[in-house]
Amino acid sequence: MKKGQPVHHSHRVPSRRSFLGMGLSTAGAAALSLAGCDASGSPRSSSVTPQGSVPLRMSAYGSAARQQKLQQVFKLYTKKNGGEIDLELLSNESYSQKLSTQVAGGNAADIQALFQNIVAQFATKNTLAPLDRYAPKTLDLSHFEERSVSGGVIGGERVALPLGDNAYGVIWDKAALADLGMSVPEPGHTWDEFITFANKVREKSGGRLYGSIDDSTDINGFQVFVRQRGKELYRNGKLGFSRTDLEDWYEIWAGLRKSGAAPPGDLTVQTAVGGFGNSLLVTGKAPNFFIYPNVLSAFQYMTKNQLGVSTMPMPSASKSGHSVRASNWVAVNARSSHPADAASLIDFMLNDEEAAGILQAEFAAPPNLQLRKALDFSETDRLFIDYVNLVSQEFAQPVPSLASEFPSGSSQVMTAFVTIGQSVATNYQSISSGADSFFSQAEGFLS
Amino acid sequence: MLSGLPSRTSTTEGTPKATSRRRPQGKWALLFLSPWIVGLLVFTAGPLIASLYLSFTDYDLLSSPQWIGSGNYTRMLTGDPVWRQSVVVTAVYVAVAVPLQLAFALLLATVLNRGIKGMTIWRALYYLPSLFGSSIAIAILWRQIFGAEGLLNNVLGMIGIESTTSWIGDPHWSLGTLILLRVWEFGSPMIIFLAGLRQIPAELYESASLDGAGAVRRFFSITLPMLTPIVFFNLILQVINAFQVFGSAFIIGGGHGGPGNSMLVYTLYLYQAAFNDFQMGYAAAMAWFLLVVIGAVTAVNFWLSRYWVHYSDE
Repeated sequence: MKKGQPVHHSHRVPSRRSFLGMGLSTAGAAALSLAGCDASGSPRSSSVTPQGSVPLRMSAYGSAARQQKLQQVFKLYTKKNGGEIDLELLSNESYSQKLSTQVAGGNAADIQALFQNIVAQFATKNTLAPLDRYAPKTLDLSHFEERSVSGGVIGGERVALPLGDNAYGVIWDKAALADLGMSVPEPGHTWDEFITFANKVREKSGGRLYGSIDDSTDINGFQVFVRQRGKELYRNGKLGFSRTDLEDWYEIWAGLRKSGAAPPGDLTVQTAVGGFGNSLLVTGKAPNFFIYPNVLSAFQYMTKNQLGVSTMPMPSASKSGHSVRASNWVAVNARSSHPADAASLIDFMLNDEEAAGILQAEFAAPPNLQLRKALDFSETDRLFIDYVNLVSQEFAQPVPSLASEFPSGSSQVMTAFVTIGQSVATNYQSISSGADSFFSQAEGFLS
Repeated sequence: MLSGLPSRTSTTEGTPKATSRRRPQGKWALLFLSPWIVGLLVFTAGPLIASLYLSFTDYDLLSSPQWIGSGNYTRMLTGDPVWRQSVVVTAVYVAVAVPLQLAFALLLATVLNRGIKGMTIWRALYYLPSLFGSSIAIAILWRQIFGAEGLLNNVLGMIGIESTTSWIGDPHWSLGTLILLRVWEFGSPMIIFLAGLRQIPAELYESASLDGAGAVRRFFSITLPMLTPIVFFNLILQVINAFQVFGSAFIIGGGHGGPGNSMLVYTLYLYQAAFNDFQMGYAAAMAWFLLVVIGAVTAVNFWLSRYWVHYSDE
């Protein structure tokens, strides 16, 4: 339905009963069509200044630790501004399903945390409120880097803000490596160095440790790999890399599996489920894990071994494939009754020193650079912040917009990347037949 | 409605007592039935019709459904290799798991039908897996048993077979673990078989024994033919159930179809389409296709039953 098109009830005869019916059918119509109809333009309250003392709801995903931190921040906010804030926190896996259902039902929260892959989807459906009208008075973006906030501008409107700047990387088990007389690979190490390193770990540990996990099924890692070749996962809604790129990626990991430096495929498949606690890094069978390292402290919490962070292997610093951008975003519901208050709470989360001090690196490095410099981080979070700063200064390449990075169908492509990667890793399919399957499936999903 | 009321009362006034007593009864019946009727209309028929409508649309939850005619069905049947894979996986699952499950249930029922001490306890024990079988906890347990360092490999190690295979991680075996989980849920067909076994007249066995028939011969010539209506009943139910397997595949596969989509059962792919990719229209089309297939398979089963099911009164 086009923007602004009204829901038609004109054929109805206005009587008491049909009024009731109209209420019901409007609710139904809202469930089916709210997003297309006029959701973007006019929030119910047109005021751009927060009223204070209003009830707000925020929905988010993540751990119990995240819940506690957010609630502390909310407590602080309501102490100053009155009102009441409800937090609905769900597991990562079920969050976007629940949120979409709520949006469709018209009862989504005022403030929504959004993982990077759904921001553009929601924005193009006009379910997110434009935010620029609240700046600079309610929403102060002056201490943010343009590069870190620009991703939230979709279709010419600022609809989301970064919760924290992030950079992809590899978490390493410093202590386990030290036991072998080795240290964490330097940021910027090459693929050849990485392969030699992994084999050396395997050798020196007498087969007790794998040299690396098998990252072949990780599309985020693969994204860095294709960017190192000047390509992208997607261009104009189609795949942005070639079969050769995928086969080369599979070859790297097949080589490591063959030499025993990476675990056999069935073990990789098995440890892909069950959370970080089930990872070979935490169970002490491999010294690393490829991930957005804002979860460093979550990993550190699960192991006694001191952890460290480094970059992905790369051809050279100028072709690092790395970038700095938020993976976690926050937005205001286009149908919120109190959008200005919602914006004010987001401002508080991002710009208040006390609030940022509570959140630390929970959502990655605080995007307010002044606070990022001034804050006193825990030792583990400090490591992560230093890593983001390092990537930002020495390795970061420009990134495409969220919309082009996550075209429609990309979540199915992501699933296909995992299942086909696992199929190749377990020798169920050869590398070339795996690449065939991937391209035929992905092209179907993206069409 | 209201306007029709007075005229109706006026006609009832003149009718004999008997009919006028029946009418209010009908009204009362309707009143008492209304919770179920409303429930059926609102919670079953309504969504059913809505999903049929949605199956002809492109609907992503966030914007209103767009009518695309048979587009979803065309894409499903001609343009989606993953859908075809899910059909194959489900077909294999149903075709292997159901016969194995029924055979196992029948075997145990036959054994439990003899006079063993503490029989009721044994029956309850063997029924337990069916109560747990479809639960999430058991699917998680299954992951542990068939993992690289799981119970199965430990047991194999004890008898001298060294194995580090993760049976759930290796696509050659993973569907097998799902099938095994289904077979393990043999309890409810077993209970029904037990009831059926009780119905077989003892004199048939007595006279067969007098004629010199051994246990095996008695099983195949008396037990099995007399049980065919029960086998048929169990077959229909379990086939319908097996087509709809979801929970175990979801948990054991880790939320997706596992390596090479080896565990991508139909409903799992349907769920992915609906809730990971928000293709509600496509998912609705898949659901209707499944309904039609289950209906067709059941119809074929009924038709085939003429050739192998014997009713004792025929």
